Amino acid sequence: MRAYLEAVTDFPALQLRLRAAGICSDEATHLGAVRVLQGLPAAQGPFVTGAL
Amino acid sequence: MAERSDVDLMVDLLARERRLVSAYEAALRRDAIDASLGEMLLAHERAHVAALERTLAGRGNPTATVPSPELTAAVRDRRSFAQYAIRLEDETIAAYADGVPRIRDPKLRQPLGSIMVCGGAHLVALRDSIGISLVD
Repeated sequence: MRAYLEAVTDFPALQLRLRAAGICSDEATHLGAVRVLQGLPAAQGPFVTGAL
Repeated sequence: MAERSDVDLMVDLLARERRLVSAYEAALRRDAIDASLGEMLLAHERAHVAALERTLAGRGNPTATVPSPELTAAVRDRRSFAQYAIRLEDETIAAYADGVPRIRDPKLRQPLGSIMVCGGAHLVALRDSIGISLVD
């Protein structure tokens, strides 16, 4: 998640940033699902940056 | 088509976040969402609105949010509201996924992206609340 967010920030080409953002939005639901399966709230806060 | 300015893009995102705030407020008033879930989602959306308003600092001119007939119909029960909110969150995530990469100021892209990720988690929480597959 963090890597995709960094890609959206840092990639110089718009098309690459768009692709990274699309993947990031999918990963967001995967991260939320894993947290729910762990018995945690889907979102840990209003700004989710992922782990390093 | 001309590229939109950063302000225009953020004004659009702010309008969408305000629509989510209105939706969760209405659902909580009508008991159309579990209170703890609704309060958490509402708190997140309010934080998103506050962050966007701070960043915009009075620039832009978001249109006023008016309650939609769809929302009025959706708050009749928890399942229909969850389905409505899932659609709204999904549309908002799509707007972020298309808009954030177009923001010219790179320092804004990561915080805006972190809001998009939160939206993904909201989708999962709403899907879980009505017992459907956590991801589609």
